[in-house]
Amino acid sequence: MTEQQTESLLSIRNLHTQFDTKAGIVRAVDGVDIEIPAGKTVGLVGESGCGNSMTAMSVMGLVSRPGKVTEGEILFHGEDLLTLSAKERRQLCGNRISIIFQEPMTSLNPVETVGKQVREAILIHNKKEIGKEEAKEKVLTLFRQVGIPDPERRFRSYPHQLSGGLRQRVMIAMAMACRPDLLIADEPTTALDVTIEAQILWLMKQLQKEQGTSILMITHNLGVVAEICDYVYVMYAGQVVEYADVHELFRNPLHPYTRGLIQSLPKMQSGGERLYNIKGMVPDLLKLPKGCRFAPRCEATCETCVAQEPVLTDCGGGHLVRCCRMKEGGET
Amino acid sequence: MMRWKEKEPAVPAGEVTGRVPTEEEEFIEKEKFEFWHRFCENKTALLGLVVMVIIILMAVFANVIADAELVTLQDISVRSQGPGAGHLFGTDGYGRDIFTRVVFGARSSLFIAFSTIFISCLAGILLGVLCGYRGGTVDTIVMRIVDVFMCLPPLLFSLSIVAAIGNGMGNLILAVSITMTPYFTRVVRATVLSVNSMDYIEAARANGATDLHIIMRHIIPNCMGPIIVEATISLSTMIMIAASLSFIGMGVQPPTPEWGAMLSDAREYMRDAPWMVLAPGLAIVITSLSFNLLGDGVRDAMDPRQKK
Repeated sequence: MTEQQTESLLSIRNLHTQFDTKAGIVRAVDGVDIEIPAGKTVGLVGESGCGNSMTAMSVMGLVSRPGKVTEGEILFHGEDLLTLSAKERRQLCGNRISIIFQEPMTSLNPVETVGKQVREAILIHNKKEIGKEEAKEKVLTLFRQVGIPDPERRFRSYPHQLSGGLRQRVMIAMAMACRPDLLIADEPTTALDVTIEAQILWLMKQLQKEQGTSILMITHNLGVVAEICDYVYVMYAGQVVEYADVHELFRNPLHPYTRGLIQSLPKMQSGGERLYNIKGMVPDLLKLPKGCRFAPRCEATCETCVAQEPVLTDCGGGHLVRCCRMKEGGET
Repeated sequence: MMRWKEKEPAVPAGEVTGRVPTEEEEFIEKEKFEFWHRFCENKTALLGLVVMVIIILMAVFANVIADAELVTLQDISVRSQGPGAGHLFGTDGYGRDIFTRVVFGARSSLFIAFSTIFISCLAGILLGVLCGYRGGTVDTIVMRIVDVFMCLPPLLFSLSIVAAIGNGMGNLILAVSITMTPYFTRVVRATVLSVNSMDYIEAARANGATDLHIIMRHIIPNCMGPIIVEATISLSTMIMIAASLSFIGMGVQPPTPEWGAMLSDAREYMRDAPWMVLAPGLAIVITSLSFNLLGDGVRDAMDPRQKK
């Protein structure tokens, strides 16, 4: 991890995002460190409610009211986003950092044509340099790039006239409009069916190759991770529990949670057996268990698990695990 | 599921999504005119629209239909005449032609109604967006004031404002606008709250859009549906309030023809010359009825829950 730090495009350090609710303080993101190297795809894996989407929202500055980023740094090109003014931050968002949301159905304004909306994304950041006509040409080029057939006609289409896959393509076109350095994809394929999912992932990889954009891929689908990510962070209950490059993670998953996630994928050769599932649910962030947060659901708990909270330790080759059964430098 | 090799999808991107245009285009056409189709299915609403268009045309082309000079021309020799060939609706107590006055009265009534709609809509959008988008203390304060205003009966409230600032058409418009603003504010605020939680607002924010941009491009256009419905439905209320205020002499001043004021003038002669109350009275009834029918039709056609 240390050797990456110099070339990181985005490094999140000790990020804490909290929600002040009547029932107490919910620590949605609790001390997360993430490094995204330039031009690479980093996966952020976890069940719903593990804080992976909240991490992305914190980077975009979209954490809404009861929530607040309370601690930590988000360094983008070496500059801390959290110290920027609202205006400076707005200039970065959509320009240098873009996000694709999960739901292409509701992420587009229903009363405006998709062409205008993408054009708007360009004009917000380049109002002085580019005229409307020129921006429209750019939109048509973008539409061609993301594989939207008949871009002239699609420019004038309203969102409800497009299929889910086309809408997600429009969202990608919008996100890529200003050629961002970092693209955050918050479960971009969850709402799509499997054939379209493959196309969208292929398209994102293609665009990354052409433009050298870094991607932060938030997903709970390990199949997606295997397809497109270079490095993977696994999150559980607001913390990173495992980090490795993608080959290492699938070959040698160390954290019991990661193992459980991988085991619960359906396999080609398994015929008729019951699919594995991790018992229980993600803990209530207000009532976190003592010691290891995963202990109540873990199949290999011991006394130390309940007694003390494990720390992220290097098990060799930059493979980080937060589990008290793992010792520095290797498995016990 | 776990494939390590880079694998292109079997079908290259972009080819699957090209659809047969005919079917889709039909769908688009259907969507475009859906509102109009659903509106036309409602025959009473269509009747309301037709009558409203006729009344608006009557107001616009008043000087073609009737002679503008006859509006205030008093001819004592023909006072209190019943309906007949010379005076279609008869004459009033001063010998003025009632038909001409009803036709020209449509101008003041519609002018009052549409300008109050315009002003209160604008004010309602401003306050509603402020409350719904900002939230917090501003929202609480403005909405409590709105609650207080809505406790007062609209007629009584506008009456007290006119009584305070003096009568006349301008003041009447102002008073009715102030009375109706809380209703619009409420509708707009509720819509803004629901629109504000949509993903595309978040997406716009993520694109670096300013608040003003988000409000103008995304929030207000998406609030227009409920606003239009509220405006059409309130039109008849506004006509009624304006006529009522003129009736008690707090609105449009004579000799300007106004239906409410005409009704008030004719009150004394009601037993001997019923046509004097009949003409302006029917005008008010027909106008507000047609606006009401239209409003209901628009609401029904726009309500997605009633989609078949």
